[in-house]
Amino acid sequence: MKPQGVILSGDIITGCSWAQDAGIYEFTIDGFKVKARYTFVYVYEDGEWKIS
Amino acid sequence: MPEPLLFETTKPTCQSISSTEVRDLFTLWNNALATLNPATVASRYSKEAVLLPTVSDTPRNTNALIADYFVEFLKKKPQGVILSGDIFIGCNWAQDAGIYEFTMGKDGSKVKARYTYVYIYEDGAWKISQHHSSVMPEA
Repeated sequence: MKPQGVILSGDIITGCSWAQDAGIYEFTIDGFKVKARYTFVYVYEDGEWKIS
Repeated sequence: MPEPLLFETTKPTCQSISSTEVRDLFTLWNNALATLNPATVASRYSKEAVLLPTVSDTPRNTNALIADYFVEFLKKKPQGVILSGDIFIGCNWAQDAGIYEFTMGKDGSKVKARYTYVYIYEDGAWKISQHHSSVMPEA
Protein backbone atom coordinates (compact mmCIF):
# COMPACT_ATOMS: atom_id res chain seq x y z
CA MET A 1 0.00 0.00 0.00
CA LYS A 2 3.11 2.21 0.31
CA PRO A 3 1.69 4.41 3.07
CA GLN A 4 3.34 7.74 3.74
CA GLY A 5 2.15 10.09 6.47
CA VAL A 6 2.25 13.82 7.12
CA ILE A 7 1.37 15.43 10.45
CA LEU A 8 -1.14 18.24 9.81
CA SER A 9 -1.41 19.53 13.39
CA GLY A 10 -0.45 18.31 16.83
CA ASP A 11 0.47 19.16 20.40
CA ILE A 12 3.71 17.98 22.02
CA ILE A 13 4.51 17.56 25.71
CA THR A 14 7.94 16.43 26.89
CA GLY A 15 8.85 14.86 30.23
CA CYS A 16 11.71 12.92 31.79
CA SER A 17 12.73 10.25 29.26
CA TRP A 18 9.34 10.39 27.58
CA ALA A 19 7.31 12.62 25.26
CA GLN A 20 3.86 12.66 23.74
CA ASP A 21 2.60 13.99 20.42
CA ALA A 22 -1.13 13.99 19.66
CA GLY A 23 -3.05 15.45 16.76
CA ILE A 24 -4.12 14.81 13.17
CA TYR A 25 -2.11 13.21 10.37
CA GLU A 26 -2.82 12.28 6.78
CA PHE A 27 -1.69 9.16 4.95
CA THR A 28 -1.29 8.84 1.24
CA ILE A 29 -1.96 5.17 0.40
CA ASP A 30 -2.04 3.97 -3.21
CA GLY A 31 -2.74 7.55 -4.27
CA PHE A 32 -5.66 7.95 -1.85
CA LYS A 33 -5.53 10.27 1.14
CA VAL A 34 -6.84 9.30 4.59
CA LYS A 35 -6.96 11.66 7.57
CA ALA A 36 -6.74 10.17 11.06
CA ARG A 37 -6.20 11.22 14.65
CA TYR A 38 -2.92 10.06 16.15
CA THR A 39 -1.26 9.76 19.53
CA PHE A 40 2.38 8.83 19.90
CA VAL A 41 4.07 8.31 23.24
CA TYR A 42 7.84 8.02 22.96
CA VAL A 43 10.19 6.63 25.62
CA TYR A 44 13.99 6.70 25.85
CA GLU A 45 14.87 3.01 25.99
CA ASP A 46 18.33 1.46 25.70
CA GLY A 47 19.74 4.72 24.34
CA GLU A 48 17.07 5.25 21.71
CA TRP A 49 13.70 6.96 21.42
CA LYS A 50 11.01 4.39 20.76
CA ILE A 51 7.23 4.45 20.50
CA SER A 52 5.77 3.26 23.80
CA MET B 1 37.42 22.14 46.69
CA PRO B 2 34.54 24.32 45.51
CA GLU B 3 31.08 23.39 46.68
CA PRO B 4 29.24 21.38 44.03
CA LEU B 5 26.52 23.39 42.37
CA LEU B 6 23.01 22.43 43.40
CA PHE B 7 21.88 21.62 39.89
CA GLU B 8 24.69 19.11 39.54
CA THR B 9 23.52 17.06 42.49
CA THR B 10 19.77 17.32 42.03
CA LYS B 11 18.18 14.40 40.24
CA PRO B 12 14.57 14.24 39.17
CA THR B 13 12.39 12.62 41.81
CA CYS B 14 10.16 9.96 40.40
CA GLN B 15 6.77 9.69 42.08
CA SER B 16 6.10 6.00 42.61
CA ILE B 17 2.83 4.53 41.37
CA SER B 18 1.68 0.92 40.98
CA SER B 19 -0.26 -0.58 38.09
CA THR B 20 -3.31 -0.84 40.34
CA GLU B 21 -3.02 2.83 41.21
CA VAL B 22 -2.71 3.74 37.52
CA ARG B 23 -5.91 1.83 36.81
CA ASP B 24 -7.57 3.58 39.78
CA LEU B 25 -6.97 6.90 38.00
CA PHE B 26 -9.56 5.74 35.46
CA THR B 27 -11.99 5.23 38.35
CA LEU B 28 -11.41 8.85 39.41
CA TRP B 29 -12.21 9.98 35.85
CA ASN B 30 -15.29 7.73 35.71
CA ASN B 31 -16.46 9.05 39.09
CA ALA B 32 -16.06 12.56 37.68
CA LEU B 33 -18.36 11.55 34.80
CA ALA B 34 -20.95 10.47 37.38
CA THR B 35 -21.11 14.02 38.76
CA LEU B 36 -22.42 15.11 35.30
CA ASN B 37 -20.40 18.31 35.81
CA PRO B 38 -18.17 19.14 32.79
CA ALA B 39 -15.81 21.28 34.91
CA THR B 40 -15.30 18.41 37.38
CA VAL B 41 -14.39 16.06 34.52
CA ALA B 42 -12.12 18.68 32.96
CA SER B 43 -10.32 19.07 36.31
CA ARG B 44 -9.01 15.49 35.90
CA TYR B 45 -6.86 16.74 32.98
CA SER B 46 -3.46 18.40 33.25
CA LYS B 47 -2.75 22.00 32.26
CA GLU B 48 -1.46 21.12 28.79
CA ALA B 49 -3.63 18.05 28.24
CA VAL B 50 -4.84 16.91 24.83
CA LEU B 51 -8.15 15.07 24.45
CA LEU B 52 -8.97 13.32 21.17
CA PRO B 53 -12.55 12.40 22.07
CA THR B 54 -14.80 9.61 20.84
CA VAL B 55 -17.45 11.64 19.04
CA SER B 56 -15.84 14.97 18.07
CA ASP B 57 -13.33 15.72 15.30
CA THR B 58 -11.73 18.65 17.11
CA PRO B 59 -8.59 17.96 19.16
CA ARG B 60 -9.25 19.46 22.61
CA ASN B 61 -6.01 21.07 23.79
CA THR B 62 -7.27 23.56 26.38
CA ASN B 63 -9.19 23.02 29.59
CA ALA B 64 -12.09 25.04 28.15
CA LEU B 65 -12.25 22.89 25.00
CA ILE B 66 -12.11 19.73 27.12
CA ALA B 67 -14.97 20.93 29.35
CA ASP B 68 -16.91 21.93 26.22
CA TYR B 69 -16.75 18.35 24.90
CA PHE B 70 -18.16 16.95 28.13
CA VAL B 71 -21.14 19.34 28.10
CA GLU B 72 -22.64 17.23 25.30
CA PHE B 73 -21.16 13.85 26.27
CA LEU B 74 -22.45 14.01 29.84
CA LYS B 75 -26.02 14.46 28.60
CA LYS B 76 -25.90 10.72 27.82
CA LYS B 77 -25.07 9.96 31.47
CA PRO B 78 -22.12 7.74 30.52
CA GLN B 79 -20.35 5.31 32.81
CA GLY B 80 -17.28 3.42 31.64
CA VAL B 81 -15.65 0.07 32.39
CA ILE B 82 -12.19 -0.98 31.23
CA LEU B 83 -12.45 -4.39 29.54
CA SER B 84 -8.74 -4.88 28.88
CA GLY B 85 -5.65 -2.73 28.84
CA ASP B 86 -1.89 -2.54 29.17
CA ILE B 87 -0.15 -0.27 31.66
CA PHE B 88 3.35 1.19 31.41
CA ILE B 89 4.93 3.27 34.18
CA GLY B 90 7.74 5.82 33.76
CA CYS B 91 9.20 8.66 35.81
CA ASN B 92 6.30 10.91 36.77
CA TRP B 93 4.18 9.56 33.94
CA ALA B 94 2.25 6.41 33.09
CA GLN B 95 0.20 5.14 30.21
CA ASP B 96 -2.84 2.87 30.09
CA ALA B 97 -4.12 1.74 26.68
CA GLY B 98 -6.80 -0.77 25.76
CA ILE B 99 -10.53 -1.20 25.31
CA TYR B 100 -13.34 0.22 27.40
CA GLU B 101 -17.10 0.15 27.23
CA PHE B 102 -19.56 2.88 28.06
CA THR B 103 -23.11 2.36 29.18
CA MET B 104 -25.25 5.42 28.60
CA GLY B 105 -27.59 5.91 31.54
CA LYS B 106 -29.93 8.00 29.40
CA ASP B 107 -31.00 5.17 27.06
CA GLY B 108 -29.10 2.09 28.26
CA SER B 109 -27.06 1.87 25.04
CA LYS B 110 -23.54 0.47 25.15
CA VAL B 111 -20.54 1.48 23.06
CA LYS B 112 -17.09 -0.10 22.99
CA ALA B 113 -14.09 2.06 22.20
CA ARG B 114 -10.31 1.96 22.21
CA TYR B 115 -8.65 4.22 24.73
CA THR B 116 -5.25 5.64 25.57
CA TYR B 117 -4.61 7.60 28.75
CA VAL B 118 -1.28 9.21 29.56
CA TYR B 119 -1.07 10.39 33.16
CA ILE B 120 1.51 12.81 34.53
CA TYR B 121 2.37 13.84 38.07
CA GLU B 122 1.69 17.58 38.09
CA ASP B 123 1.60 19.89 41.12
CA GLY B 124 1.36 16.95 43.53
CA ALA B 125 -1.44 15.07 41.78
CA TRP B 126 -1.81 12.57 38.95
CA LYS B 127 -3.64 14.14 36.01
CA ILE B 128 -4.53 13.04 32.48
CA SER B 129 -2.00 14.49 30.03
CA GLN B 130 -3.40 12.81 26.99
CA HIS B 131 -6.63 10.90 26.35
CA HIS B 132 -7.46 9.34 23.00
CA SER B 133 -10.77 7.54 22.49
CA SER B 134 -12.06 6.05 19.25
CA VAL B 135 -14.85 3.64 18.33
CA MET B 136 -13.82 0.15 17.28
CA PRO B 137 -12.65 0.35 13.63
CA GLU B 138 -14.17 -3.00 12.65
CA ALA B 139 -17.51 -2.57 14.44
